Parts: sequence; structure tokens; C-alpha cells
Amino acid sequence: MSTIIADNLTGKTAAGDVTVTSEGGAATFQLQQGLAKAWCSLDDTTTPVFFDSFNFASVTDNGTGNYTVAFTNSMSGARYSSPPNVYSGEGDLANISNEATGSFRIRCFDDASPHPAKDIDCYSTTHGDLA
Amino acid sequence: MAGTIVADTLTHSTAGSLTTDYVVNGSAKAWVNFDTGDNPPVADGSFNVSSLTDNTTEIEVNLTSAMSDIYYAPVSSGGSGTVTNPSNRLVATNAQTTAKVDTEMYSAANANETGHNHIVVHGDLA
Repeated sequence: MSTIIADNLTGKTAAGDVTVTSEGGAATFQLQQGLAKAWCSLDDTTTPVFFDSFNFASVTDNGTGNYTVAFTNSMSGARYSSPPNVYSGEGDLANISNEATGSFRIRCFDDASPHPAKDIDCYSTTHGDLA
Repeated sequence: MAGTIVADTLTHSTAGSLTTDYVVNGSAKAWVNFDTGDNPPVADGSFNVSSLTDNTTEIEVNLTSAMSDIYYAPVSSGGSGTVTNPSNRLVATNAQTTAKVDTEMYSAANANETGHNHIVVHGDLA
């Protein structure tokens, strides 16, 4: 068994491209592209806070079920993938809106039609390119 | 010439250690962001996605490198871009084949709807 002790991983040919061999061995993929760049678990209290998070600096309450989460290190563009969801034993759901390089909004809704906004704990994981 | 390191563990000087199976198994194998309102839909941001196929209400996300079987985990949600009004949309996602994920977006009224699709795929590559 071998261990690499390092603070940085940098590609030799291209600094931002470290290649990893797939589970089945038939393909390779780019390490940087597969890593989550941010994640958060949000506690919907009177003033929302993070239960825990990575690469998120702050959360802002915009109203019922409407939270802006801001990155510490921004994304390179606004078309990253960050599907949110809710802690719920019902059919409540979450959407994302206002995607920008530095932040996005998590929007939470009740399961009952016509699905009004709802304050509820939620979470999201962000994949995409860092700036 | 590019080099190859074969190792079982990565250790950071302060943040701890991680066995490299977490790197291989824990990395997302694909992600994509697209707007079903575009005709035809195109990937506005993606990784390991070769193309999108428009089947009217259903969009097929075609993978560049295939998964090892169909029991992978495509996680999805809907969005509305810069629209600030509630969108309350659902995205149904189906691991259709090892090389294709099918998605379909619905409104609160359970009708097909357009909007931003956020999809992340975890699982084993072939």
C-alpha cells in the first residue's frame, strides 16, 4: 500500500487536468471535473445558517423558502449543475434559481398544490468549473 | 511526458487522509446544465456529456464514456435561471441505458414544462 502526502495535485501536461482511471478500467476521467466544488446543508431557522458546508461563505434569507447561498470561491460561469433538495417526509420539493458565478438561490415548496413556498431545511451539491 | 502515480491513499498536511477509492468512486462521472426551452436543447455546461437528444417532452442526455451498468445514480432538480418567481418544477430522471439518461420536466400542475435542468451522475464507469 502506498500513500501520497501532498497539499496540491497538479497535472503535468495541463495543470488543471489530473486523470483518474475508471472503476471498470475501460475509461479515464478528469479528476477536477468530477469533484464537487461546493455543498451545503442548510438549517432553516429564523435566521438560516449552515448545518455544514464546503466552499459556501454565507446564506441570506430572501423570504419564505427562498435562500441565497454565496460561494467562497466563485464558479467560472453561471451554468453549473447544483440540484437542491429538501429534508422532508412529505412530497416537498426544491428548485434552483438566479444562478450566478458567485451565488444561487434555493427555492423550497410545499407538497400540497399549488405548492406554496415553504421554510424547510434543504441542501445542494455543486458541480462545474471553478473560476 | 505525463506521469502516472499508483497509490492507495492521499494525505494532506492539515486536512487529513483519503483512500483513493473515494476519489474514484466518489467523483461525479457526469454533470450537465441545459434549458429545455432551447430548441434544440444544448448543454450550457457539462462533463462527460456528448450530446442531448430532443424527444419532444423527454430529453436524452448521452454520455461520452458509458457507465458499467444501469444501476447508477442520476440526481436532478429543476430551475428557472434568472426568473425570480417560484418555479416549483420537478425533473424526473431515469438511468435508461449505460450510455443515456432520460429526463423530463414537470410543472406543479404535473404538465410538461420548460426550464433549467441540473443533473449530476454518480456511479461506476465501464
